[in-house]
Amino acid sequence: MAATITTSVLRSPRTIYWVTQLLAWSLLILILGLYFYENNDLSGDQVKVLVLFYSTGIGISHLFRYVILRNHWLEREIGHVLPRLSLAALLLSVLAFLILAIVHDLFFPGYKPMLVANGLSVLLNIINWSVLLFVWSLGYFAYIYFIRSRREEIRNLRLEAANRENQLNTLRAQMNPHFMFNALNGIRALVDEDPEQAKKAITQLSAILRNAMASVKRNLVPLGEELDMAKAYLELERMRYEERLRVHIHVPAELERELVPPMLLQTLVENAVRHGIAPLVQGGELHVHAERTELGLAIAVRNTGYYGPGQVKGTGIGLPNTRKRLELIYGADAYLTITNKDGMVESRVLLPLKQ
Amino acid sequence: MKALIIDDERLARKELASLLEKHDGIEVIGEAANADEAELLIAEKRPDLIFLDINMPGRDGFELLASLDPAPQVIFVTAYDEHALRAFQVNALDYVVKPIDPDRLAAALNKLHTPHDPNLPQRDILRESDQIFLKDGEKCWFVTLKDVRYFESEGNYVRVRFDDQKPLVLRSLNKLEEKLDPLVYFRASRKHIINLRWVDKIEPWFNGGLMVKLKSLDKSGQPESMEVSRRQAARFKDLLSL
Repeated sequence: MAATITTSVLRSPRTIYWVTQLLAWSLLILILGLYFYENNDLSGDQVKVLVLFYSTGIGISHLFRYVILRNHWLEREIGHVLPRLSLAALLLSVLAFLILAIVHDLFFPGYKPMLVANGLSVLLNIINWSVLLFVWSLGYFAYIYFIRSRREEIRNLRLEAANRENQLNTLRAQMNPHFMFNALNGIRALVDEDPEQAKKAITQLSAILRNAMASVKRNLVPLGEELDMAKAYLELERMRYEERLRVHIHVPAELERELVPPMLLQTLVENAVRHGIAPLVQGGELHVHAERTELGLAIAVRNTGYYGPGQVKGTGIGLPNTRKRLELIYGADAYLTITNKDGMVESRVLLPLKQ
Repeated sequence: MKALIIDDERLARKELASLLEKHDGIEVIGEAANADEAELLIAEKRPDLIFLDINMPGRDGFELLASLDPAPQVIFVTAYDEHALRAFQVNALDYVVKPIDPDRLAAALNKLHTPHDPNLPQRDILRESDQIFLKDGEKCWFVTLKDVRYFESEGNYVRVRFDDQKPLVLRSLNKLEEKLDPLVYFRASRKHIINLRWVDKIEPWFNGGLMVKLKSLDKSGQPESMEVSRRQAARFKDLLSL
């Protein structure tokens, strides 16, 4: 336990920042010290100045970081930020010089006064500080961009993994022997009863299998495609359940172009059939509904039945995986809820709409 | 042979019925879409054979079967029930998978016993050679009655003892007694019905009762034994003196 805490503290961004910050400034001071030493200029007073320089440097650059964070420069375009960064570096340099000079002249009055030195020396000092702080800020930006791109990469990998897992689940559900063999058995009976219907059913079954195996690389697909797939699936289930499964679909045509995560609707519809309608002797209603709301795109699947914890048999991975994918794609802006409403179970997904 | 098809899907029933048309010995006398319908039809039409889908809404195939005494000859028809079929402790059943392979169906039909003479009056009594279907939790058994040593009442349930198994099933000992062949199964007391074929020794017991020892041994290696109440002891002696 203690070990994990230590590791996590060591790896926290705050710790990394401070370690890097202190190391970088120490390194600079060391180099300056060596330079003075080589020139036989490293007196006791000079060491004091270096210590003062060290503390001021850390303080001012930390203040610089605060300014960067406060103004959200990390989120802005680099072209927007660079001039502001330069200006901030210049202003902070003046501040750094003033602090350094005042403290210096107050505490070491005898040694090379700074505040009252000639104008050129003051200007050079400020320019030195500006360059130093500017370089520091570039380093800081580079570091943050590096961390962010890694985080982004990890997020993408996790999304891909979740998609893969979902594809596997869907395949498993579609290849669900019950669904497959019952569908094939139904088709076998249809061959005599209604050959046209039998052909249609075979096409639908192929479409479903093909879709389940389709590329995982696509993170978002048009709602229309998802809807076609759900319809094909529901048609096949209608072949089996006949009047026990009563399907109603209300999705406005203008929403079919909206992008949604693949297999999202499919998961909800399958759950509704398998856990909602299938156990009912009299069967029930299944509604698929989509609408544009103020908060985003709302997709709802409602079915007759009651949803209770621990009631649902099966793998129980469909919904957690769906939630995970939503979080990876949309962060906290999307959610999935399941509620009981007037004798119906409603699975509702809200997705933010792209502007 | 009169057969009944029980499946919740109309197309599945139709498919099976059309496959059965080719078998002259089998006459489909009815179809049921769920366990309740099936129970009524079985009571009314007394089929020799039922084709039973395991996965149905409401009561499933196993639950239906467990409520039938005696269990008719059964061929399970299932899309895919590895798990359910594994539940069987005694694999004395046959099943075909959907979509049904006609050859496989023919093989299953060939294995069936020919029914008793149809001219004999219908009987309600369970004979030694009859099978019953038992379900306790996830486990299922098809057991021939002659293998059952005794039934033991436990509240509203009855524990059925056969081989090394003792499933607990929801039945009443009184109802069971009415159905069992009285020449073979004897109500020894409020608690027990004994299969007389398994009786080894009988010893006098307190209060004019008897102690019956079976040919089977309990866990400690002693013969399984149970008491015959005083009220039943006289009947018991009568029965055995035959």
